[in-house]
Amino acid sequence: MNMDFISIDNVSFEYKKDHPVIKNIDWKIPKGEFHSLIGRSGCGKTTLLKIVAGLITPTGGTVAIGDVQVSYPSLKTGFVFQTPNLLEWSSVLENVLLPLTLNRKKISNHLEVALEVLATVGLKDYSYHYPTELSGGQQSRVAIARALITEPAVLLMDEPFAALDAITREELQIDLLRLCHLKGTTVLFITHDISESVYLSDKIAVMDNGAIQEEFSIDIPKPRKDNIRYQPTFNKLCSDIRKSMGFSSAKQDARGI
Amino acid sequence: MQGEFKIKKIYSIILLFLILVSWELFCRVSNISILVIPPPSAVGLVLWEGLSEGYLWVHIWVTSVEMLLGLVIGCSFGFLSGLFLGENKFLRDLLWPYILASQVIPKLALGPLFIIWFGFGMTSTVIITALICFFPLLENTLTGIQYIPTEKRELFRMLGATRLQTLLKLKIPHGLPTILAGVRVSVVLALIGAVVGEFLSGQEGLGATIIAAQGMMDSTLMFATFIIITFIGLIFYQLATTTERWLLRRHNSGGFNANP
Repeated sequence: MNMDFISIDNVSFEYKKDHPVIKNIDWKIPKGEFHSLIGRSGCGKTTLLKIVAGLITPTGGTVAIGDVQVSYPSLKTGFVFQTPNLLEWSSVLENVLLPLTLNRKKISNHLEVALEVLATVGLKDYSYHYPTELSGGQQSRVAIARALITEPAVLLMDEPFAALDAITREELQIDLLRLCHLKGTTVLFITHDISESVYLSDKIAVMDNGAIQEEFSIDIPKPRKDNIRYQPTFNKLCSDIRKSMGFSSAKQDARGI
Repeated sequence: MQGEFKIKKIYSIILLFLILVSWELFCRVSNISILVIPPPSAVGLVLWEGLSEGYLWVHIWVTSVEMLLGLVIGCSFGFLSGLFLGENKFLRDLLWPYILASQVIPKLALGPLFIIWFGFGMTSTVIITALICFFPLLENTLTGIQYIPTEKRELFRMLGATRLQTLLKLKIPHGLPTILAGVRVSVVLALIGAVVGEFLSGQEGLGATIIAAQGMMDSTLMFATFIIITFIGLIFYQLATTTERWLLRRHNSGGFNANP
Protein backbone atom coordinates (compact mmCIF):
# COMPACT_ATOMS: atom_id res chain seq x y z
CA MET A 1 0.00 0.00 0.00
CA ASN A 2 1.33 3.36 -1.05
CA MET A 3 1.67 5.85 1.81
CA ASP A 4 1.16 8.64 -0.70
CA PHE A 5 -2.55 8.60 -1.45
CA ILE A 6 -2.37 11.00 -4.37
CA SER A 7 0.73 10.53 -6.46
CA ILE A 8 1.55 12.97 -9.27
CA ASP A 9 4.55 11.59 -11.14
CA ASN A 10 6.48 13.62 -13.68
CA VAL A 11 3.27 15.09 -15.09
CA SER A 12 3.46 17.46 -18.02
CA PHE A 13 0.86 18.90 -20.35
CA GLU A 14 0.82 21.08 -23.44
CA TYR A 15 -2.12 22.40 -25.45
CA LYS A 16 0.16 23.14 -28.43
CA LYS A 17 3.42 21.44 -29.28
CA ASP A 18 6.43 23.04 -27.56
CA HIS A 19 4.16 25.25 -25.43
CA PRO A 20 4.11 23.37 -22.11
CA VAL A 21 1.53 24.46 -19.55
CA ILE A 22 2.66 21.91 -16.94
CA LYS A 23 6.33 20.93 -16.75
CA ASN A 24 7.32 17.61 -15.16
CA ILE A 25 5.56 18.03 -11.84
CA ASP A 26 6.05 15.55 -9.01
CA TRP A 27 3.85 15.87 -5.95
CA LYS A 28 2.68 13.42 -3.30
CA ILE A 29 -0.22 13.84 -0.90
CA PRO A 30 -0.55 11.38 2.01
CA LYS A 31 -4.04 10.23 2.99
CA GLY A 32 -6.06 12.75 4.97
CA GLU A 33 -3.72 15.67 4.30
CA PHE A 34 -4.71 19.07 2.97
CA HIS A 35 -2.38 20.42 0.30
CA SER A 36 -2.64 23.70 -1.57
CA LEU A 37 -1.31 24.89 -4.90
CA ILE A 38 -0.73 28.61 -4.94
CA GLY A 39 0.44 30.80 -7.76
CA ARG A 40 -0.42 33.68 -9.99
CA SER A 41 -3.19 33.49 -12.58
CA GLY A 42 -2.18 31.46 -15.62
CA CYS A 43 0.60 29.50 -13.88
CA GLY A 44 -1.09 26.13 -14.59
CA LYS A 45 -2.78 25.39 -11.24
CA THR A 46 -6.22 24.67 -12.65
CA THR A 47 -4.80 22.53 -15.48
CA LEU A 48 -2.92 20.41 -12.93
CA LEU A 49 -6.06 20.04 -10.82
CA LYS A 50 -8.07 18.94 -13.86
CA ILE A 51 -5.38 16.38 -14.68
CA VAL A 52 -5.68 14.98 -11.14
CA ALA A 53 -9.49 14.93 -11.59
CA GLY A 54 -9.18 12.97 -14.84
CA LEU A 55 -10.83 15.77 -16.84
CA ILE A 56 -7.63 16.33 -18.83
CA THR A 57 -5.21 13.62 -19.94
CA PRO A 58 -1.58 14.59 -19.34
CA THR A 59 0.80 14.55 -22.31
CA GLY A 60 3.44 13.04 -20.04
CA GLY A 61 3.63 11.31 -16.65
CA THR A 62 0.90 9.72 -14.52
CA VAL A 63 -1.45 10.50 -11.66
CA ALA A 64 -2.58 7.81 -9.23
CA ILE A 65 -5.14 7.97 -6.45
CA GLY A 66 -4.60 5.08 -4.08
CA ASP A 67 -3.46 2.24 -6.29
CA VAL A 68 -5.55 3.31 -9.27
CA GLN A 69 -4.10 5.33 -12.12
CA VAL A 70 -6.35 8.27 -13.02
CA SER A 71 -7.48 8.22 -16.64
CA TYR A 72 -11.07 9.47 -16.34
CA PRO A 73 -13.23 11.21 -13.70
CA SER A 74 -14.34 9.08 -10.78
CA LEU A 75 -17.11 9.48 -8.21
CA LYS A 76 -14.48 8.79 -5.55
CA THR A 77 -13.11 12.23 -6.34
CA GLY A 78 -15.19 15.27 -5.45
CA PHE A 79 -14.61 18.48 -7.39
CA VAL A 80 -15.57 22.00 -6.31
CA PHE A 81 -15.34 24.58 -9.10
CA GLN A 82 -14.39 28.26 -9.06
CA THR A 83 -18.06 29.18 -9.19
CA PRO A 84 -20.69 27.23 -7.20
CA ASN A 85 -21.83 25.82 -10.57
CA LEU A 86 -25.31 24.95 -9.28
CA LEU A 87 -28.25 24.05 -11.52
CA GLU A 88 -30.47 27.07 -10.96
CA TRP A 89 -33.60 25.21 -12.09
CA SER A 90 -33.15 22.61 -9.33
CA SER A 91 -33.71 23.05 -5.60
CA VAL A 92 -30.82 22.99 -3.12
CA LEU A 93 -31.75 19.41 -2.18
CA GLU A 94 -31.88 18.31 -5.84
CA ASN A 95 -28.48 19.93 -6.45
CA VAL A 96 -26.95 18.09 -3.51
CA LEU A 97 -28.54 14.81 -4.64
CA LEU A 98 -27.32 15.26 -8.25
CA PRO A 99 -24.27 12.91 -7.94
CA LEU A 100 -26.56 10.15 -6.63
CA THR A 101 -29.39 10.65 -9.13
CA LEU A 102 -26.98 10.70 -12.08
CA ASN A 103 -25.40 7.45 -10.95
CA ARG A 104 -28.70 5.86 -9.90
CA LYS A 105 -27.01 4.98 -6.63
CA LYS A 106 -29.42 3.00 -4.54
CA ILE A 107 -29.14 4.57 -1.15
CA SER A 108 -32.34 3.76 0.71
CA ASN A 109 -32.06 6.80 2.93
CA HIS A 110 -30.65 9.19 0.32
CA LEU A 111 -32.93 12.02 1.44
CA GLU A 112 -31.76 11.71 5.03
CA VAL A 113 -28.13 11.59 3.84
CA ALA A 114 -28.60 14.74 1.75
CA LEU A 115 -30.31 16.56 4.61
CA GLU A 116 -27.52 15.48 6.94
CA VAL A 117 -24.85 16.80 4.56
CA LEU A 118 -26.80 20.04 4.23
CA ALA A 119 -26.97 20.24 8.01
CA THR A 120 -23.17 19.92 8.23
CA VAL A 121 -22.81 22.99 6.00
CA GLY A 122 -25.55 24.79 7.95
CA LEU A 123 -28.17 24.84 5.18
CA LYS A 124 -30.75 22.24 6.23
CA ASP A 125 -33.44 24.93 6.43
CA TYR A 126 -32.74 25.95 2.84
CA SER A 127 -33.26 22.47 1.32
CA TYR A 128 -36.26 23.47 -0.76
CA HIS A 129 -34.94 26.90 -1.74
CA TYR A 130 -33.53 27.55 -5.19
CA PRO A 131 -29.94 28.72 -5.90
CA THR A 132 -31.10 32.17 -7.04
CA GLU A 133 -32.61 32.66 -3.57
CA LEU A 134 -29.26 32.07 -1.83
CA SER A 135 -26.28 34.34 -1.15
CA GLY A 136 -22.88 33.65 -2.75
CA GLY A 137 -21.59 32.07 0.46
CA GLN A 138 -24.63 29.82 0.78
CA GLN A 139 -24.26 28.73 -2.85
CA SER A 140 -20.62 27.80 -2.17
CA ARG A 141 -21.77 25.73 0.82
CA VAL A 142 -24.26 23.88 -1.41
CA ALA A 143 -21.44 23.17 -3.89
CA ILE A 144 -19.33 21.71 -1.06
CA ALA A 145 -22.29 19.64 0.18
CA ARG A 146 -22.80 18.29 -3.36
CA ALA A 147 -19.14 17.30 -3.55
CA LEU A 148 -19.31 15.60 -0.14
CA ILE A 149 -22.52 13.58 -0.52
CA THR A 150 -20.72 10.64 -2.14
CA GLU A 151 -18.20 10.74 0.72
CA PRO A 152 -15.26 11.05 -1.70
CA ALA A 153 -11.82 10.02 -0.52
CA VAL A 154 -10.37 12.98 -2.42
CA LEU A 155 -11.67 16.52 -2.72
CA LEU A 156 -10.28 18.77 -5.44
CA MET A 157 -11.11 22.44 -5.06
CA ASP A 158 -10.44 25.14 -7.62
CA GLU A 159 -10.47 28.54 -5.86
CA PRO A 160 -13.94 27.83 -4.51
CA PHE A 161 -14.07 30.91 -2.28
CA ALA A 162 -12.40 33.41 -4.62
CA ALA A 163 -15.56 35.42 -5.28
CA LEU A 164 -16.65 35.70 -1.65
CA ASP A 165 -16.15 38.50 0.86
CA ALA A 166 -13.40 38.10 3.48
CA ILE A 167 -15.65 37.21 6.42
CA THR A 168 -17.74 34.63 4.52
CA ARG A 169 -14.53 33.16 3.14
CA GLU A 170 -13.08 32.72 6.62
CA GLU A 171 -16.30 31.10 7.85
CA LEU A 172 -16.22 28.65 4.95
CA GLN A 173 -12.54 27.89 5.54
CA ILE A 174 -13.32 26.94 9.16
CA ASP A 175 -16.24 24.74 8.02
CA LEU A 176 -14.15 23.11 5.30
CA LEU A 177 -11.35 22.17 7.70
CA ARG A 178 -13.90 20.75 10.16
CA LEU A 179 -15.65 18.66 7.48
CA CYS A 180 -12.44 17.30 5.97
CA HIS A 181 -11.11 16.41 9.42
CA LEU A 182 -14.41 14.68 10.22
CA LYS A 183 -14.36 12.47 7.10
CA GLY A 184 -10.56 12.12 6.79
CA THR A 185 -10.77 13.57 3.27
CA THR A 186 -7.58 14.16 1.29
CA VAL A 187 -7.71 17.61 -0.29
CA LEU A 188 -5.89 19.36 -3.11
CA PHE A 189 -6.89 23.01 -2.98
CA ILE A 190 -6.11 25.77 -5.43
CA THR A 191 -5.99 29.38 -4.40
CA HIS A 192 -4.15 32.60 -5.00
CA ASP A 193 -4.89 33.79 -1.49
CA ILE A 194 -1.72 33.28 0.59
CA SER A 195 -3.40 33.58 3.99
CA GLU A 196 -6.11 31.10 2.95
CA SER A 197 -3.53 28.54 1.85
CA VAL A 198 -1.54 28.84 5.10
CA TYR A 199 -4.65 28.57 7.27
CA LEU A 200 -5.99 25.48 5.51
CA SER A 201 -2.96 23.47 4.46
CA ASP A 202 -0.52 20.90 5.75
CA LYS A 203 1.68 21.61 2.76
CA ILE A 204 1.80 24.32 0.09
CA ALA A 205 3.34 24.21 -3.38
CA VAL A 206 4.11 27.55 -5.00
CA MET A 207 3.61 27.23 -8.76
CA ASP A 208 5.09 29.45 -11.42
CA ASN A 209 5.13 29.03 -15.17
CA GLY A 210 3.89 25.42 -15.06
CA ALA A 211 6.39 24.15 -12.49
CA ILE A 212 6.58 23.90 -8.72
CA GLN A 213 8.81 26.72 -7.52
CA GLU A 214 9.00 25.96 -3.81
CA GLU A 215 7.33 23.82 -1.15
CA PHE A 216 6.28 24.88 2.34
CA SER A 217 5.30 22.58 5.19
CA ILE A 218 2.83 24.23 7.54
CA ASP A 219 3.58 23.02 11.04
CA ILE A 220 0.78 24.86 12.77
CA PRO A 221 -1.07 22.27 14.88
CA LYS A 222 -4.65 21.24 14.03
CA PRO A 223 -7.48 21.89 14.73
CA ARG A 224 -6.69 25.47 13.84
CA LYS A 225 -8.52 28.28 15.52
CA ASP A 226 -9.33 31.48 13.72
CA ASN A 227 -6.94 33.52 15.89
CA ILE A 228 -3.86 31.76 14.44
CA ARG A 229 -4.14 34.19 11.54
CA TYR A 230 -2.70 36.89 13.79
CA GLN A 231 0.24 34.87 15.18
CA PRO A 232 3.86 35.61 14.17
CA THR A 233 4.43 32.06 12.79
CA PHE A 234 1.44 32.47 10.49
CA ASN A 235 2.56 35.90 9.30
CA LYS A 236 6.13 34.68 8.76
CA LEU A 237 4.87 31.83 6.55
CA CYS A 238 2.68 34.23 4.59
CA SER A 239 5.65 36.54 4.09
CA ASP A 240 7.91 33.66 2.93
CA ILE A 241 5.30 32.45 0.44
CA ARG A 242 4.78 35.98 -0.83
CA LYS A 243 8.53 36.23 -1.44
CA SER A 244 8.53 32.88 -3.19
CA MET A 245 5.80 34.16 -5.48
CA GLY A 246 8.12 36.98 -6.46
CA PHE A 247 6.48 39.76 -4.49
CA SER A 248 9.27 41.32 -2.42
CA SER A 249 9.60 44.56 -0.47
CA ALA A 250 12.43 45.47 -2.87
CA LYS A 251 9.91 45.39 -5.74
CA GLN A 252 7.50 47.46 -3.68
CA ASP A 253 10.25 50.03 -3.03
CA ALA A 254 11.15 50.09 -6.72
CA ARG A 255 7.52 50.87 -7.55
CA GLY A 256 7.53 53.62 -4.92
CA ILE A 257 4.83 51.90 -2.84
CA MET B 1 -42.85 50.86 -10.11
CA GLN B 2 -46.38 49.47 -10.23
CA GLY B 3 -47.84 53.00 -10.28
CA GLU B 4 -45.58 53.91 -13.18
CA PHE B 5 -46.70 50.77 -15.03
CA LYS B 6 -50.38 51.68 -14.50
CA ILE B 7 -49.81 55.23 -15.82
CA LYS B 8 -48.13 53.82 -18.95
CA LYS B 9 -51.16 51.54 -19.50
CA ILE B 10 -53.56 54.47 -19.12
CA TYR B 11 -51.51 56.46 -21.67
CA SER B 12 -51.69 53.49 -24.09
CA ILE B 13 -55.49 53.36 -23.75
CA ILE B 14 -55.77 57.15 -24.23
CA LEU B 15 -53.60 56.85 -27.37
CA LEU B 16 -55.88 54.12 -28.78
CA PHE B 17 -58.96 56.26 -28.02
CA LEU B 18 -57.37 59.28 -29.77
CA ILE B 19 -56.49 57.21 -32.86
CA LEU B 20 -60.06 55.83 -33.09
CA VAL B 21 -61.64 59.29 -32.65
CA SER B 22 -59.30 60.84 -35.27
CA TRP B 23 -60.01 57.96 -37.67
CA GLU B 24 -63.81 58.34 -37.19
CA LEU B 25 -63.63 62.13 -37.64
CA PHE B 26 -61.45 61.75 -40.77
CA CYS B 27 -63.98 59.33 -42.36
CA ARG B 28 -66.94 61.59 -41.54
CA VAL B 29 -65.31 64.91 -42.52
CA SER B 30 -63.55 63.70 -45.68
CA ASN B 31 -66.56 61.72 -46.90
CA ILE B 32 -64.19 59.02 -48.07
CA SER B 33 -65.96 55.93 -49.42
CA ILE B 34 -66.66 53.17 -46.90
CA LEU B 35 -65.25 50.78 -49.51
CA VAL B 36 -61.82 52.41 -49.13
CA ILE B 37 -61.59 53.19 -45.41
CA PRO B 38 -64.56 52.26 -43.23
CA PRO B 39 -65.04 54.30 -39.99
CA PRO B 40 -64.35 52.45 -36.70
CA SER B 41 -68.04 52.66 -35.78
CA ALA B 42 -69.00 50.66 -38.91
CA VAL B 43 -66.19 48.15 -38.27
CA GLY B 44 -67.35 47.78 -34.66
CA LEU B 45 -70.93 47.17 -35.80
CA VAL B 46 -69.92 44.46 -38.32
CA LEU B 47 -67.70 42.88 -35.69
CA TRP B 48 -70.51 42.86 -33.14
CA GLU B 49 -73.00 41.40 -35.61
CA GLY B 50 -70.54 38.74 -36.79
CA LEU B 51 -69.82 37.67 -33.23
CA SER B 52 -73.35 37.89 -31.83
CA GLU B 53 -74.89 36.05 -34.78
CA GLY B 54 -72.14 33.42 -34.66
CA TYR B 55 -71.05 33.92 -38.28
CA LEU B 56 -67.43 34.72 -37.36
CA TRP B 57 -67.01 32.10 -34.63
CA VAL B 58 -66.70 29.21 -37.12
CA HIS B 59 -63.83 31.02 -38.86
CA ILE B 60 -62.15 31.94 -35.56
CA TRP B 61 -62.33 28.28 -34.53
CA VAL B 62 -60.91 26.99 -37.82
CA THR B 63 -58.01 29.48 -37.87
CA SER B 64 -57.21 28.82 -34.20
CA VAL B 65 -57.19 25.03 -34.73
CA GLU B 66 -55.00 25.32 -37.85
CA MET B 67 -52.64 27.67 -36.04
CA LEU B 68 -52.39 25.41 -32.97
CA LEU B 69 -51.96 22.20 -34.98
CA GLY B 70 -49.31 23.81 -37.19
CA LEU B 71 -47.58 25.26 -34.14
CA VAL B 72 -47.53 21.98 -32.21
CA ILE B 73 -46.43 19.88 -35.21
CA GLY B 74 -43.81 22.41 -36.42
CA CYS B 75 -42.41 23.09 -32.95
CA SER B 76 -42.28 19.38 -32.04
CA PHE B 77 -40.40 18.46 -35.21
CA GLY B 78 -38.17 21.55 -34.88
CA PHE B 79 -37.34 20.72 -31.25
CA LEU B 80 -36.62 17.05 -31.90
CA SER B 81 -34.56 17.82 -35.02
CA GLY B 82 -32.64 20.47 -33.04
CA LEU B 83 -31.81 17.90 -30.35
CA PHE B 84 -30.85 15.31 -32.92
CA LEU B 85 -28.58 17.64 -34.90
CA GLY B 86 -27.19 19.23 -31.72
CA GLU B 87 -26.07 15.84 -30.46
CA ASN B 88 -24.68 14.56 -33.73
CA LYS B 89 -21.95 16.68 -35.30
CA PHE B 90 -21.66 14.50 -38.40
CA LEU B 91 -25.36 14.81 -39.22
CA ARG B 92 -25.27 18.52 -38.38
CA ASP B 93 -22.45 19.16 -40.85
CA LEU B 94 -24.12 16.92 -43.43
CA LEU B 95 -27.69 18.25 -43.24
CA TRP B 96 -27.32 21.90 -42.18
CA PRO B 97 -26.74 23.34 -45.70
CA TYR B 98 -29.86 21.53 -46.95
CA ILE B 99 -31.98 22.63 -43.98
CA LEU B 100 -30.83 26.20 -44.51
CA ALA B 101 -31.60 26.01 -48.24
CA SER B 102 -35.06 24.60 -47.50
CA GLN B 103 -35.75 27.54 -45.20
CA VAL B 104 -34.76 30.12 -47.78
CA ILE B 105 -37.64 28.95 -50.03
CA PRO B 106 -40.72 31.01 -49.08
CA LYS B 107 -43.10 28.47 -47.55
CA LEU B 108 -46.11 30.18 -49.07
CA ALA B 109 -44.68 29.58 -52.53
CA LEU B 110 -45.12 25.88 -51.78
CA GLY B 111 -48.83 26.43 -51.11
CA PRO B 112 -50.02 25.59 -54.65
CA LEU B 113 -48.00 22.38 -54.55
CA PHE B 114 -49.55 21.38 -51.20
CA ILE B 115 -53.01 22.04 -52.66
CA ILE B 116 -52.22 19.57 -55.47
CA TRP B 117 -50.95 17.03 -52.93
CA PHE B 118 -53.42 17.46 -50.07
CA GLY B 119 -56.32 19.33 -51.63
CA PHE B 120 -58.07 22.51 -50.46
CA GLY B 121 -58.78 22.78 -46.74
CA MET B 122 -57.18 22.38 -43.37
CA THR B 123 -54.38 19.91 -44.19
CA SER B 124 -52.54 22.21 -46.59
CA THR B 125 -52.81 25.20 -44.24
CA VAL B 126 -51.60 23.16 -41.25
CA ILE B 127 -48.60 21.90 -43.23
CA ILE B 128 -47.66 25.42 -44.37
CA THR B 129 -47.98 26.66 -40.76
CA ALA B 130 -45.92 23.74 -39.43
CA LEU B 131 -43.17 24.39 -41.98
CA ILE B 132 -43.01 28.06 -40.96
CA CYS B 133 -42.79 27.13 -37.24
CA PHE B 134 -40.20 24.40 -37.76
CA PHE B 135 -37.09 26.50 -38.39
CA PRO B 136 -37.13 28.89 -35.39
CA LEU B 137 -37.44 25.92 -33.03
CA LEU B 138 -34.77 23.93 -34.85
CA GLU B 139 -32.30 26.79 -34.79
CA ASN B 140 -33.02 27.89 -31.21
CA THR B 141 -32.89 24.32 -29.86
CA LEU B 142 -29.61 23.72 -31.67
CA THR B 143 -28.14 26.94 -30.28
CA GLY B 144 -29.60 26.43 -26.79
CA ILE B 145 -28.15 22.98 -26.22
CA GLN B 146 -24.76 23.75 -27.73
CA TYR B 147 -23.73 26.76 -25.65
CA ILE B 148 -23.34 25.20 -22.20
CA PRO B 149 -20.71 26.70 -19.84
CA THR B 150 -17.56 24.58 -19.66
CA GLU B 151 -17.74 24.29 -15.85
CA LYS B 152 -21.24 22.79 -16.03
CA ARG B 153 -20.15 20.31 -18.71
CA GLU B 154 -17.14 19.38 -16.54
CA LEU B 155 -19.39 18.96 -13.49
CA PHE B 156 -21.49 16.40 -15.36
CA ARG B 157 -18.34 14.64 -16.58
CA MET B 158 -17.00 14.54 -13.01
CA LEU B 159 -20.29 13.01 -11.84
CA GLY B 160 -20.13 10.31 -14.53
CA ALA B 161 -23.31 11.44 -16.33
CA THR B 162 -24.26 9.59 -19.51
CA ARG B 163 -24.87 11.48 -22.76
CA LEU B 164 -28.63 11.16 -22.35
CA GLN B 165 -28.48 12.38 -18.74
CA THR B 166 -26.37 15.37 -19.80
CA LEU B 167 -28.94 16.17 -22.49
CA LEU B 168 -31.99 15.79 -20.26
CA LYS B 169 -30.66 17.22 -17.01
CA LEU B 170 -28.25 19.88 -18.25
CA LYS B 171 -28.47 20.84 -21.92
CA ILE B 172 -32.27 21.09 -22.30
CA PRO B 173 -32.92 22.89 -18.97
CA HIS B 174 -29.96 25.24 -19.57
CA GLY B 175 -31.03 25.91 -23.15
CA LEU B 176 -34.70 26.36 -22.21
CA PRO B 177 -34.66 30.21 -22.36
CA THR B 178 -33.36 30.07 -25.95
CA ILE B 179 -35.74 27.24 -26.90
CA LEU B 180 -38.75 29.09 -25.50
CA ALA B 181 -37.71 32.27 -27.32
CA GLY B 182 -38.05 30.16 -30.48
CA VAL B 183 -41.54 29.09 -29.41
CA ARG B 184 -42.49 32.75 -28.90
CA VAL B 185 -41.33 33.62 -32.43
CA SER B 186 -43.16 30.55 -33.80
CA VAL B 187 -46.45 31.62 -32.17
CA VAL B 188 -46.43 34.86 -34.16
CA LEU B 189 -45.35 33.10 -37.36
CA ALA B 190 -47.99 30.38 -36.88
CA LEU B 191 -50.84 32.89 -37.04
CA ILE B 192 -49.36 34.48 -40.16
CA GLY B 193 -48.91 31.00 -41.66
CA ALA B 194 -52.49 29.95 -40.87
CA VAL B 195 -54.10 33.14 -42.24
CA VAL B 196 -51.98 33.33 -45.39
CA GLY B 197 -52.35 29.56 -45.88
CA GLU B 198 -56.13 30.11 -45.88
CA PHE B 199 -55.70 32.81 -48.55
CA LEU B 200 -54.41 30.04 -50.82
CA SER B 201 -56.23 26.92 -49.81
CA GLY B 202 -58.87 27.76 -47.25
CA GLN B 203 -62.60 27.41 -47.60
CA GLU B 204 -63.13 28.40 -43.97
CA GLY B 205 -61.11 30.49 -41.55
CA LEU B 206 -60.27 34.15 -41.14
CA GLY B 207 -57.92 34.18 -44.15
CA ALA B 208 -60.70 32.76 -46.31
CA THR B 209 -63.07 35.39 -44.82
CA ILE B 210 -60.69 38.17 -45.90
CA ILE B 211 -60.54 36.73 -49.46
CA ALA B 212 -64.36 36.44 -49.52
CA ALA B 213 -64.69 40.03 -48.24
CA GLN B 214 -62.26 41.18 -50.94
CA GLY B 215 -64.50 39.52 -53.57
CA MET B 216 -67.48 41.48 -52.22
CA MET B 217 -65.46 44.71 -51.85
CA ASP B 218 -66.46 44.57 -48.17
CA SER B 219 -63.61 46.55 -46.54
CA THR B 220 -65.58 46.81 -43.30
CA LEU B 221 -65.60 43.02 -42.86
CA MET B 222 -61.90 42.95 -43.72
CA PHE B 223 -61.12 45.44 -40.96
CA ALA B 224 -63.32 43.47 -38.52
CA THR B 225 -61.36 40.32 -39.43
CA PHE B 226 -58.04 42.15 -38.92
CA ILE B 227 -59.16 43.06 -35.39
CA ILE B 228 -60.04 39.44 -34.62
CA ILE B 229 -56.69 38.20 -36.01
CA THR B 230 -54.88 40.79 -33.88
CA PHE B 231 -56.75 39.62 -30.77
CA ILE B 232 -56.02 35.95 -31.47
CA GLY B 233 -52.33 36.83 -31.97
CA LEU B 234 -52.20 38.81 -28.73
CA ILE B 235 -53.95 36.07 -26.74
CA PHE B 236 -51.61 33.34 -28.00
CA TYR B 237 -48.53 35.56 -27.56
CA GLN B 238 -49.57 36.39 -24.00
CA LEU B 239 -50.16 32.69 -23.30
CA ALA B 240 -46.69 31.90 -24.67
CA THR B 241 -44.95 34.60 -22.59
CA THR B 242 -46.87 33.63 -19.42
CA THR B 243 -45.95 29.95 -19.90
CA GLU B 244 -42.36 30.96 -20.62
CA ARG B 245 -42.13 33.06 -17.46
CA TRP B 246 -43.56 30.20 -15.40
CA LEU B 247 -41.16 27.63 -16.89
CA LEU B 248 -38.18 29.96 -16.42
CA ARG B 249 -39.14 31.16 -12.95
CA ARG B 250 -36.05 29.44 -11.48
CA HIS B 251 -33.63 30.52 -14.19
CA ASN B 252 -31.41 33.55 -13.63
CA SER B 253 -32.98 35.32 -16.60
CA GLY B 254 -36.48 34.83 -15.13
CA GLY B 255 -37.99 34.59 -18.62
CA PHE B 256 -38.98 37.10 -21.27
CA ASN B 257 -40.43 40.34 -20.00
CA ALA B 258 -42.98 41.72 -22.42
CA ASN B 259 -43.29 44.89 -20.32
CA PRO B 260 -39.71 46.04 -19.73
